[in-house]
Amino acid sequence: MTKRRYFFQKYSIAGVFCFLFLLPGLGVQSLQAEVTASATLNANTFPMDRVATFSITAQGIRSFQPQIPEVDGLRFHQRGQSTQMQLINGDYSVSVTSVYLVEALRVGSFTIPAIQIQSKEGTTQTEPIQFEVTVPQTTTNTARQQQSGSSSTSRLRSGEADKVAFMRVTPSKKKSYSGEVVPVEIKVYFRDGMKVNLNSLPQLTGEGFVLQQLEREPIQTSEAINNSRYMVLTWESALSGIKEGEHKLSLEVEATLLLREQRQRSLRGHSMFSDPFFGDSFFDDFFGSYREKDVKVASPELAMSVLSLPEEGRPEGFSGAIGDFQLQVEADPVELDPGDPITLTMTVSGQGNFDRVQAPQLGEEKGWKTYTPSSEFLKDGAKGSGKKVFEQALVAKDPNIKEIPAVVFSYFDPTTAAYKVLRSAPIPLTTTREMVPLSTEPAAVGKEEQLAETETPVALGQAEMRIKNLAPLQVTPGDTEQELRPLFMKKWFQLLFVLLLVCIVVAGIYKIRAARYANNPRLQRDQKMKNFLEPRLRELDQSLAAKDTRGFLATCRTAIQEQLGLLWKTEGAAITVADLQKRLPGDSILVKIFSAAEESAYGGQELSSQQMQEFADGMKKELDELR
Amino acid sequence: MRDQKLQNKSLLLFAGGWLCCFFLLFVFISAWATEQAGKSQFQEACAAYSRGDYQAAIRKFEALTREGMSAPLLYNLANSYAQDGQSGKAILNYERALRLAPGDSDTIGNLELVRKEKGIFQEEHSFGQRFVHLLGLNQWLGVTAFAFLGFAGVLLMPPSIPMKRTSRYTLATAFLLVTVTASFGASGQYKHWNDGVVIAADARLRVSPFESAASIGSIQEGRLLRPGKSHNNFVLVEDESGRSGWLAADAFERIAIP
Repeated sequence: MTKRRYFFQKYSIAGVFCFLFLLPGLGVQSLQAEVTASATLNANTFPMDRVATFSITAQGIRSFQPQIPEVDGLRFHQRGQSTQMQLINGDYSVSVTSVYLVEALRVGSFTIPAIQIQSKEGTTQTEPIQFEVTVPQTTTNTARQQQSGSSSTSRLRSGEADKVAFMRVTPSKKKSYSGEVVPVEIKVYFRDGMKVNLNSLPQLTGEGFVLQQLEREPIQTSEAINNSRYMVLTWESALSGIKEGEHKLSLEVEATLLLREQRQRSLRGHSMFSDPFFGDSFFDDFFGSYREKDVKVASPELAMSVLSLPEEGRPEGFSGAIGDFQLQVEADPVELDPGDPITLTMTVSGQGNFDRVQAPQLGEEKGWKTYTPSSEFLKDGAKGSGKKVFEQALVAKDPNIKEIPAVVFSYFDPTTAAYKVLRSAPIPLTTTREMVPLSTEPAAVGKEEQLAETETPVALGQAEMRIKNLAPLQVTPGDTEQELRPLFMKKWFQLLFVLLLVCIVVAGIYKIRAARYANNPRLQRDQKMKNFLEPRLRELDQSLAAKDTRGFLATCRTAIQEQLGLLWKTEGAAITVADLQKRLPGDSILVKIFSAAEESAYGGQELSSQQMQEFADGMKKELDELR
Repeated sequence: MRDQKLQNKSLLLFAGGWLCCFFLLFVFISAWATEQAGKSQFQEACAAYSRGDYQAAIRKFEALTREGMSAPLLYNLANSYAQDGQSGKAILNYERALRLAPGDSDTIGNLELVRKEKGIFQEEHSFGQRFVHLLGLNQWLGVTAFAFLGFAGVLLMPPSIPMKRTSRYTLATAFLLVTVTASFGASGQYKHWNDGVVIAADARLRVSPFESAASIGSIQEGRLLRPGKSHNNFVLVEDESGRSGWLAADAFERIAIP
């Protein structure tokens, strides 16, 4: 056997043991990193006609979708999510903040319960937050006052002439209904050639409206205004009125401008608007040094109205959908066996507030068993455009049903200021077998029919609960077990496994030893010498006991020949005294014994018991040494 | 004197022998009587089911499960619950029956029927999931053990057995492949071993383990879920869609019975 083969076999066996010990480790889940989360509300108390900002920040994860709980009297509007990444002294950290506007529907004390945050990195939850909602106020604008109080940041409000940065907000209309989606274009202008870092997305200030989540990456273009060229960042979004009445809105965005300073002038004592960077003269000094300036670019105030939806003509089942919608309904299968479920796919497409679009209803639900529909919204380009697909399972309970009734969806059309009801055409059904009403179906008995035929009849109420076509009962109880446990938790299996393990380990050790022996000629020779010597030593003992000198010496000679033959890799029988004298030291007892044996064979030399014992011991000792 | 002693000894041995025989007979008769009583109760429960008295059938089958469980017994109990309109308990017991008899077509068929009837539509399984569900956990473990035994046996085979080296290693590789594949199946099945089934009709998931905590939403009776840590008689569970929340401990039951 080659060395390579020996190693392969050795490592194969080692592999068996490794696998054996690794096997119980299969299926162990990897450890998850710890994450933390916190929730904050920007005010402990706020009036009912205002909104508060609710932020959830999760540290140690890259993204999450918090499950906002249902809180009676509160409504949450998502404003966006931002991610912060930091690398400080080699420590990398990441946090994600999700921002919501909290709208109160009544006055009172509220608690936003703990919110669980799950992500690939781990699970955590926030602390509950308590706050008060007070009676509505009318004109104070706390938020704006707070913003005007922020001293370190300059506020740039358009008027656009000669400005280095300004913002334009263009809603598609200024009057809208509560909940209606109003597309809006937000453009932020920076003087061409300026170095700008954008620190936030445009934020809405003011009450009564929410702004839909903005794309992180705006469209970047260039425009000329008043003979100056501007770099323009554009977001397409939508506003949605949440409070009826007149509202003044503004949008602002935080940015850092990298400005070149004039070397000759001191900026100290200059007011914000007398600062040279607001005029073209600022750019005069090419060799000026740079400084950073944090600014908030704000849009002019917009006057917007939110109208209430008319009560008159409001259809039953109206869910608050406002816009322009179409309804498409499909059913599958339409050829079916009795009791088969039908999947009804209802697609509401168009433009509007899809968050308020709920599943269309069956015009007539009698005779049908309906299940909660699932829904999926598919965006289609512009804000507020797309389609919402609902899938609902239906099962016909009535055997006479031949069609799926019309599906009804109602919405408010703001263009015509009227409610509209969409009604799909009924969908005909084909049943492949005759339907049997559930309540008249006989009990599903088969194998057990022979049992208790004379017992009391079924109660009607119970019969109605029956499920058709259940396979019949089993008639024999089978072998029982006391517990439902996996095989590896049972003692006999564990014992068997341990026994197997021991057997494999023993067999493995044996195999390793055998492989080692097969690849080691010295070991083989030693083993062979041992095997030859043992019977010879027994014969010597017998000759010694019988005081048979000839036999003793003859055995000694044979033993020496065999052992030296293996040692010298030659034919043992061919070894003579001359060989011994030539290859062994002169005082070797083996030479002496061999010579004595030769003489005994021809001359009949006699030895005393003591001599024989000395010869035997000496021979054993020297043969051992030679090995 | 010695004869007397021998005679006494023989008598003692004779009496001991008879006592042993009586004891064995008593044990055998007791076991037989218990089995007959169990069979009789099983037949009574089946009879109650046949005449539509599902409540009585449930009581009798439940009483029998306290003595010991078998796949037919759990299956019959599940049928009784299904016909009684308790879909959660029905699904729970079908799942338990499948743990004991994974491939039973009647159990699989009835389970599907009850789910369909109650609108509990499950998401389509991936190829991996379908593969894992080919066998039950114990079957996968059996296959793993036998394949591993074969793998070790081939590698440790004594050289006296004539076999080509390439054949030996091909066979070992095949056994190893089966071992790894079956381990994957066993691991996949074990992940679901501690799953539970919602048995309450109006179960709600809550954001925290308190009765007054806000609700995340309802969870349908008969839905499978994966229980986690527990607190305050509530258990943190995750349903098939990945939604998680705290559920009252009495609103669901684990499929496995320790």
